[in-house]
Order: sequence, then C-alpha cells, then structure tokens
Amino acid sequence: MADHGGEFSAVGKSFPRLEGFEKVTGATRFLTDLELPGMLYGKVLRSSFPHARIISIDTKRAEELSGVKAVITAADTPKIPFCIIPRVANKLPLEDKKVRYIGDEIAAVAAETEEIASEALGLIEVVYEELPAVFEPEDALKPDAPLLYEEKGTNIAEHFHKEYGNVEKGFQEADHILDDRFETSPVTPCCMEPRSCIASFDGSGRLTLIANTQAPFSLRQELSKVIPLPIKKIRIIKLPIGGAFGSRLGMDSIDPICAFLSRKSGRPVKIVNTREEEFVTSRYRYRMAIHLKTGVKKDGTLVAREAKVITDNGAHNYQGYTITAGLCQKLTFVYKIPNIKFDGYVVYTNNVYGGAFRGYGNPQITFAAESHIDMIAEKLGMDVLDLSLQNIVEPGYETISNCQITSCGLRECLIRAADATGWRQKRRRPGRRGIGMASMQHAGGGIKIFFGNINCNYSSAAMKMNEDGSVNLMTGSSDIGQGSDTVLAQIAAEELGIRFEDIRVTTADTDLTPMCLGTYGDRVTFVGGRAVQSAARDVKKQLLDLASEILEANIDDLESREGRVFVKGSPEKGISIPELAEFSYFKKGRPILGRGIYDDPISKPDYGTGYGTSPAYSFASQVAEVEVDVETGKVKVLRITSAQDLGKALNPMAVRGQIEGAMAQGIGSTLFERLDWVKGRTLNSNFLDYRMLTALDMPAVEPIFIESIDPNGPFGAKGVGEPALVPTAAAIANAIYDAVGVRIKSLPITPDKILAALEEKNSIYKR
Amino acid sequence: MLNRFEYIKPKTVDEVVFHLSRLGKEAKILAGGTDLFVQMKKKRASPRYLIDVVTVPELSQIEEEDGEVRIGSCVTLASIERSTLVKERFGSLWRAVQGIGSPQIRNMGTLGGNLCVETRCRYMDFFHPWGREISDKCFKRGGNLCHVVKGGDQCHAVMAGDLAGALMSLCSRVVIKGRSERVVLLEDFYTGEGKEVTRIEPDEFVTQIRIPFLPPCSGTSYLKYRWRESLDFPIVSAAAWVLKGPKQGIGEEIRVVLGALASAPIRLRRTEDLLRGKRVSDDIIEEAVHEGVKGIFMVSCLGVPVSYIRKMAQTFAVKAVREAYEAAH
Amino acid sequence: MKQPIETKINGISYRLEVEPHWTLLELLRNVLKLTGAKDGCGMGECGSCTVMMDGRAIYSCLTLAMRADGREILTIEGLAHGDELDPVQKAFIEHGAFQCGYCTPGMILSGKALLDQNPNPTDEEIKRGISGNLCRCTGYNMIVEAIRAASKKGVSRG
Repeated sequence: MADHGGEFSAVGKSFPRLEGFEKVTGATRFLTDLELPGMLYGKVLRSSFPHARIISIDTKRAEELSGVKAVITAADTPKIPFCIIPRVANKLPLEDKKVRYIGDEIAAVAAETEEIASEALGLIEVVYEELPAVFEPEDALKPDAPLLYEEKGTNIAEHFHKEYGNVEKGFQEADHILDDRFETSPVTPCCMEPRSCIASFDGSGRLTLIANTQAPFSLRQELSKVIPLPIKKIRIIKLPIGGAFGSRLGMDSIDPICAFLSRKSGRPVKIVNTREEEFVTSRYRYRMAIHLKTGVKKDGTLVAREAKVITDNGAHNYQGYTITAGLCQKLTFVYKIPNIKFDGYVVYTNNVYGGAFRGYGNPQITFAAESHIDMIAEKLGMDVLDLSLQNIVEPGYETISNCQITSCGLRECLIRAADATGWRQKRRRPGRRGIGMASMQHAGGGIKIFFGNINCNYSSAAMKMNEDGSVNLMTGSSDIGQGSDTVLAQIAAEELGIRFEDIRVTTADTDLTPMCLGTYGDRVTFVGGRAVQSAARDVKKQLLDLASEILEANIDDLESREGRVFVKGSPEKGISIPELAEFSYFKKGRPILGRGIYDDPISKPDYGTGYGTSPAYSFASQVAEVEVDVETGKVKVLRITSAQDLGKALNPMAVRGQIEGAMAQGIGSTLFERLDWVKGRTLNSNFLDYRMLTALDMPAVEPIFIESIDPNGPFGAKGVGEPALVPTAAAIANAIYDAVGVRIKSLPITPDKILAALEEKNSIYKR
Repeated sequence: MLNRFEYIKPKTVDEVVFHLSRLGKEAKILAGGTDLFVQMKKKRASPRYLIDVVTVPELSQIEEEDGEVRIGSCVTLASIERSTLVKERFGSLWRAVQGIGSPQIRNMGTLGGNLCVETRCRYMDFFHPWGREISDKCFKRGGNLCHVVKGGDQCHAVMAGDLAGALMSLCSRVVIKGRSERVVLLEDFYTGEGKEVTRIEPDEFVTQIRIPFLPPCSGTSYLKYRWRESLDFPIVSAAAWVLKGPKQGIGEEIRVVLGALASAPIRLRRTEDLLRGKRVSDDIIEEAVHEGVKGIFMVSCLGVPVSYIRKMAQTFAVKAVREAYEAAH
Repeated sequence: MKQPIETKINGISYRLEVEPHWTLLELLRNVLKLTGAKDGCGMGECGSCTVMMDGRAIYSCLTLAMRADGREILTIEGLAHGDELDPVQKAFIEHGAFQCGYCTPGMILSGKALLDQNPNPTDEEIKRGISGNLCRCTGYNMIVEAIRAASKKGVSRG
C-alpha cells in the first residue's frame, strides 16, 4: 500500500468534475441527444393486459406504412431468455406465447421518424386471450391462484432458507421478543434521462450498441447470449448517462430489440423510452413484506433474529432472488447477533419486475430491523443510542455470515451523529417534534456476486503517458453521474505523482477500455480505484527507472509528486515528468504504458445466494428530526444528520453530493414515493402523480464524514453511494414515534397513515 | 408529440369569435398551453384547430372599472402574482396564484386557463395503455361507466385549479364572449359534473374575470393543502371571505368555498348560513363547517383515501374561516 | 403546412419554417440541434426543457415553436460568452451543483432567471426559483448554495 505519510496532493481534495464545463454549457452529449447518419427511430409495442396468451400478431398494415423500415416480433428473434442471473432467466426480449404484465414487450417498429413509428405501432393487430391475473404476493401464494408459469406449478419463483446458530435456543434465552410485520412499496429510480439505446451493425455484422448501462461488459455478455453473437462481434459504448441508481445494471429488453431492428433494417436504430414507459417498465426497488422477530435479553444483549420475507418478484426473474437471499446476510450486519433464521419467498405476480435500485434490499430490511431496535430500546427502558452502542460490530469482527469487517467507524458514526444533533436533550421531549436514529452497514467495495457463471469482483485499467507527460487513463468503470471518472483521476494523479489537470479519463467502452464489472455495490472507488492505482504504479516504475538513469540515483531514493520526480529529501535534485516523457519517447525510443488489475482477494462468494461478501464495509448512522402536524398527519423533516464511515473522502465535494442525493431519495421513499399499481396498471406514471422531492421539499441535511481509513481501499477509501438512503426510513419512522407516539410499519409514511394511527391511539385513551 | 393542427392567430376578440363561430368543436382556445398540451399529449383532446389568443391585447389587461377589478383571461399567473393591486386588495387571490405549479407554469399559464383547467382522475386512461383500447371507457372518455364510483351515473373527476375557489369566494363574475357577451357569476360557470366541466358553448370563450372591490373590514384567506411544496395540485383548497360587522366577532357576510373535492369548487352555503350575522367561536365554526361539508360527495381518484380527504376538507375549511375572521378588521 | 417565423435565439436571428404542431423543444433539439434543453417528460413536470423566453423561464415542451415568433429565446448554449462562463455556470462547477448533469441546463437557466429578477434572493426564494426543476442526483442543497454564491458575485449577465 502507498505510504500515507505526509499530505496528499490530489486525493482528499474537492477537485471539480472533469466534465464540468460540458455539463454546465449543455455541450454534454447524452445518448438521447445523439443522432447517427441514416438513423431510424424505434418504438416498442407493449402488452395491454396483465396476463394473456398471445393468439396472433398481425404486422402487415404496420409494415406497409410508408417510412417503416422494419417490424419485428418474437418470430424474428431466437427467443433466448435473459436475466442478469442467467440460470433463472425467463424473460424474452419479445414475448411470443404469453404476456405477464402490462408493458411486456411483444413487437417493435423502426421508421424514419418517431411520428411514423408511433403510427405504425397503432397498426399492429394483436389478438389476446385474457387470463386471470394476480397482483398481490399473498394472493399469488393461495392454492387457487392463477399461475404465471404453469409448468412451474407454483408462483413461488424461489424460496431461500438459511440459519446461523440456533434461533429457537436464542429466543428461549430472550427476555423480550418482538414480532412485527413491515411493508414497503415499490419505488422507482426516476432517472431524469429516459432509458434509451442506439444499435448499429457494420458491414461485417459487428454490432455496436450505445446504451444507458452501468455495466457495459456485463451487457455485452448478456447480448452475446441473446442475439446471439460472439463477444468479439459486439461493442458496447456508454455515454454520459442521465442517472442510473442501479436500475441500469443489466440488460433491458430494448437493448436486444434495438439490435434486432437494426439488423433487419440494415440501419442504425434509436429507441428512447417515453416518460410513461420509464415509470412503467424501469427496474425499481422490489416491494417486500417483512415479518421480523427479534429477541433480546433484559440487559440489552440482542440474541436472535428471525425473518420471513415475501418479495413481489413481478412477472419475470431478474434480481428478486439475489436481493431477497442477500437480506439474510444483512440481518447479520450492524449488531453482533449469534442466531439468525431467514426465509425468503420470491413470488411471481402480474406486475412489472423489479431490479437493483440503490441499496439492493438493504433499505427494506433496515427499515424493519432499525424500527425494531428502536422498539426494543423502548421496551427495555433504554436509550436506543446505548442499546446500539452495546451491540454494534467493531473493526476486525467477522459476522456469522463470514463477512470480514476490516475498517469500521460505526461507533464514531453513532456518537458523532448523536452529538451533532443534541440527541440526549431532544429525545422523548413533549410536543410535536421528535428525533429518531437508525444505523446501517453496506458493501463498501463491491461484492462477490454472480457475473455470467462465476462469482467475482474485479476491475482493470490501462494508462498511457503521452510525450508531454499527460496521461490517458482507460478503465471499464462507468461514471453514472456520481463522479467516479473524477475520483479515479485523482487516485491516478496521487499514485503516479502527476497533477490532476494532466489526466484524461476514458471509460466504459468495451473496445477501448479494460474490463470492469460495472458500477454497483459501491465498488468503483474501491475496486476500480485499486486497479487504477495498480496501473499508476506500473507507469510510475517506468518513470522512476528513467529518472534513476538520468539523475544517477537509486530508484528507492526517488519519489514522484505533482509532476516531478526527485530525490527524497532533496527536491531540487529532480526532473519534471514532462521532461521524462519526452526523454522516453524521443531519446530512449520507448512509449510509456501501464496496466493494472485488481482482483479482490478478500471477499468470498456465496453459491447459495449468489450474493457473497465484500472486501470492505461502509457504515452510517442517521439521526432524523421531524415535526408532525397532528391535524393533517403531515411530517416536516427538520433536519437529517448522517454520519457516514466511508474510509476516506477522496473528493469531499463529490462525497457530499452522493450523500445528500441519497438522502433526498431516502426521504422521498419514506414519505412520498410509491408506484400506485391497480390491476397491473401504473396509475401514477408521471412526475405529477409520482411524488419525488422538489427543491422546496428537501430539508437541511448534514453529512459527517467518518474516516476510518480502510487498510485495503485506495488511500483508505470505501464506497459511499448507497449507504445514505438505507437507514433514512427507520430514522424518520423512529423520529415520528418519538414525536407523537405512533409507529408506522409500512412505507411510504403518508399523512393519512399517521392521522389514522393518531386517531386510533387517541380513541384507545378515550375508552 | 402533438397531433397535427391548423394554427390561427387572431389579433382581436372579434376575430377570435369569428373563428370560433365557424369552427366550433373542432377548435380549442390556446392561451398558456400548460393544460391544453398535456391533454393533447395524453390523447384526451386532438383539436383540428388551435386559436392562439395569448397576444390579443384586450385579453391581457388588468383594469379598474365600476368598482371592480377586471383581469383579462390571458393575463399570466406570474403577472397576477406581481400585481400589487391584487396582493393588497385581494389577498386570497394572490395567495392562490402564488402556489400554482412552478415558476415556469406561472410564467406561461393564464387566469382563463386555470379557471378552465381540465378535471383530473387517475383512472381516465385506465382503458388506454400504450394507445390501445382494452376495456371500457369511462364517462370522461366518451364511455358509460366510472372506474371510481362503480355503478355511478356521472363523471366525478376533480377540478383542482386554485383560482376558481378563491375567485368564487370573492363573488367574481366571468365574462364569456360568443355571438353575444354574457357575464355570469363564477359559481354558475361550473356544471358540477366532471365531463363537461364549464357552461360554455363551443363558439364561446372566456375573456375576463371581474372581481368587485371588497368592502372595508373584509378579511380573506386561501389555503392550499398538498403533500409536496411545489408542482402538486391541492388535495383540498379552502377559500373564505368574511365581512366584519359592526359588532365584535360577528361576520355580516361570509363566503366559504372548498376546491379540489369535486368537479367544481363547492360553496359551503349551509356553513355560511349558520355563521352569517352570528357571534362566532372556534366550536361554532367547527360545527358550522361540519354541517356544510357532511353532505359533499367525495371520491378517491387521485391516490389519497377519501376518508382522509373528508377530514382535510373539515380541517382546512375551519382554518380558512378562522383566518378570514381574523383578517377582517 | 409549415409557417414562417422570425425569432432570435441566443442572440442570433433566424428565419425558420415550422410546423404548427412542433413544440419549441422539438424546434431547438431536432432542427437547430441545440440539445442542451432535454425532453425529460414532455408534460411540463420535470423542468429539464426549461429555456428563457423574453427573460422568463418557461417549459419549452409545452410551448409551440410558433410562439417563438418575434421573441427572444435563451438556451443554455447561449449563456456563456465564448470560454467565459456565466457566474451561475461557474458557481455550479465550483459548488458541485450537478452530478449526472441531465437537469443541469434547465436548472442553471431557472437560477439565472431568478437572479435576473431578484439579484439577492434568500435561500427560500432560491428554492422557490428552482421549484419547477426536478433533480434526482443532488438533493438540491448544493444547487441552492451555488445559486447563492452566484448571486453574491454580482448580477448574472444578460
């Protein structure tokens, strides 16, 4: 590991974004801004029924419309199902026999203009045989429920069971047992740029797909199976992307559909989702019903946790299983609990299928778990801060689920968040204001998760130095707006010893950049950063070799910093890196090129769940302060303080942006956001009826950075993107309870729920 | 994408009337476009002609005449917000316009447009995913059922525009021009039904709102209850005007109007009758409002439970009345 | 049938033939290739299509291209003077007021529109000024700080 002694020159500084000038002048070309010569516009015909057999599809009239260049149905495809977890794939890019949710893709058109493509869609005649549909997981589990996959004989897509320790014994030792049901709603990412893609084939039949993707190499794998095409015949390019948040991790039907249309028409094709399609068909956070049972001794020791989770999988398999199964690991987080029992049921319904959305199941399970901790503290007559401190994990601890914790600043997170908010003074005060707390633990460096058929967690990078000493850094990591390109440049600059301004970053092009598994699980800073460090070290060695020759010094006596290589302790005895580069290219006759690979040796795969461990864990404690209007039930969030252990803040401004943005999403999903499904229809498929936060709704928030300096992260850094929304729901729910004494166990906590709970509480008193 | 249409840009009110008289139902008036274009993009309206009236000078004036303020139907919401006359003399109107939509909506939207805003219901497109008809259309869409009130016999879509309630509480009148001109009380402009929301013929359009200057000792209030602090229409809105009488705590005249509960703003006449000329207290107001609200038929068509809406109607009507009493001095 | 309009966009005068049913957003993006304004929802609910017309922020997705006739339009592309960024643009970079950048053109123009009318706004007024622009990435507070910083640097250039 690099020596951290002394001040850093590039990391730990709030460098502005590399792409800042383009973004503030509107020069950034997002995919939706792009036009290729000869490009056609594609549109997708989607199912009108939640459950139906497709009897026939007649595309003749659409084909005959002037300006239409291709119409496709499943018959034009090899009908290979896809899924980011391949072994459970049951979604076809275009369905041929059956549709299972309103929005399921059945045909597509490519035409000269969007207008013509839309008109053509209207000319495709589909004959359906409507089937009974089921929309609630509990209904789908009933014996007489309509089956989405008749051959399966059940609507249970998967059942996952795991036990650690002995839960029955644990509950026997408990002095108090709490048993509660928590519910969450489906919440959608609301990426400001609708999902889109542009496909084109060259003369040799090689496909280039420009896609809104977080994981170009993963997408290439998926496409290769579904088109099908060999890997070498596919290029994926990711352009600046208008938001992703996990929802663009895997392939969506429009990606292969676009490719099929392009191949059939012989021209580039662009598909852009309408905003309605975005709301209806995006991957979203799965809704869950969580039965949680927690046992505690009267001295405050947590002894056992048992959970039964029912996940509404939606109509097709995607990440419902991994997310649900991964909840078991999360139950072993934050506190040392020796006995855990978990049952997860992933249930098919005729709703759209979900996916990864910032948190990967952690927001749902933490809402339940941290609400329970608050309830337990009350039962024991303890301050929940003390209860938490008594039970939390610590550096070096290995959970019963084999998660090895290295750096851990959770204790400091709790204490700092409590201090910053005046916790002890404000807790349990009379009046309408309340304060609540919740903590969380999350993957901080990626996860050994299924990719193709192996479990891995790696990244790679290439670095070339130009003749003027500037550097091109190439890596497969995807900057989805969180600023990873900038942070990776900072890591490169620090490790190599050049100035941040002299680095250009190219990412996420499967032809030009080395493989990275993608942006998910908070891995880019950690895994991508380590790969970049490795590449930088490779280049640095070449520079130091050259310098030792020119300066006639021992390599071990040299260091490089801010564009200069010099003898340690005698900075005047040195040479600038541009001079070194010029020397190498023009005198020595040798290009300077470096490579770096980081294959995370620390984390372990889990073949049962597909969701392994992480090389580092991030922690956070959030304190929410609210005021409840008891006449309306409306909750005003006064302030949220989030103390987050992120190892090291490589770019404080970018880190703050990630934390605050996550908190906005956390507040939204706690108080306002919910996809309203009625009989499979999404009733609020627009920004007016789906209430994400506006500027006037965002409260004051205070992020506190806790730097525990991870031993394995680049310069001590861990992931930061997901944690800040994970504990928000519980923190707010606990604050509401502190304020007015009502416990809401279903999300979102809308004013009508609070008012109803208050009325029930008051009527109890009146009896 | 909007459907194709012919664009007509008349220069005077007479020209507007001329085009309306020959085109009738085939044409729609275009003012701010913030509601019309949303309706067109959702395929709820596809007029063959758009008559753009927003630059007709007569429609963009704010003038005082005959003891009234007369605001042209094409005066933008932002202009009303900027008007010191409105802010000082018609507080409830000013408050109502302030909370509409967003700065951009207020820059574009007009008084006339807000008064004629389409009714709203999440089930209006229930039959229509991806442009396909798959089940029964509701009354609003030309069918014969209501998805919200099973077995119902009319459309209950909600009229949630902010200005109508405030203006009704201020005894406003609306000027409608067609072949002839008529001036009607705003409360008579609405049908109370969700499909054909306003009493206006295809060859007529709204040119002006006339608001009588309030007598001294008037107090007004406007409350907009919604969950987000921007963009959202109200879940319920409450407007009130009280004219203080010579004796303390007595309102000589009172108007209370609730909006966003039904297909038109609702005047709580029963509440007004119970409070007019009487000495009020919190309990009396509470009871009078309860009497006025209890008979209102409400539906849950916008994602909020109806029992909750009913409670909020009570809560905010009471608040609005109390505020108006307090403001009357 | 296309109709002629004369309009000034980012200081340049244009004589254009437009279809009546085109929105201003479509004119800007598809015809003039000014892709800074975005089509985020098409319904006037997200603000990513925000441009300025005669000095006021509007939703170009709900404005007819015909309406640009005789008016002055300012898009994000017209804000900087060559390499010299407007104070609001500079402040957005310095204060990390964007992440994915998709909402940023509309957000910056709403900020500028606010400062043009109200050079010294309170934070509440700033929030109100951008209350018609949705951002999913930042949580808004850093945007408010950027606009506040730009206001103290002097009035945004026009």
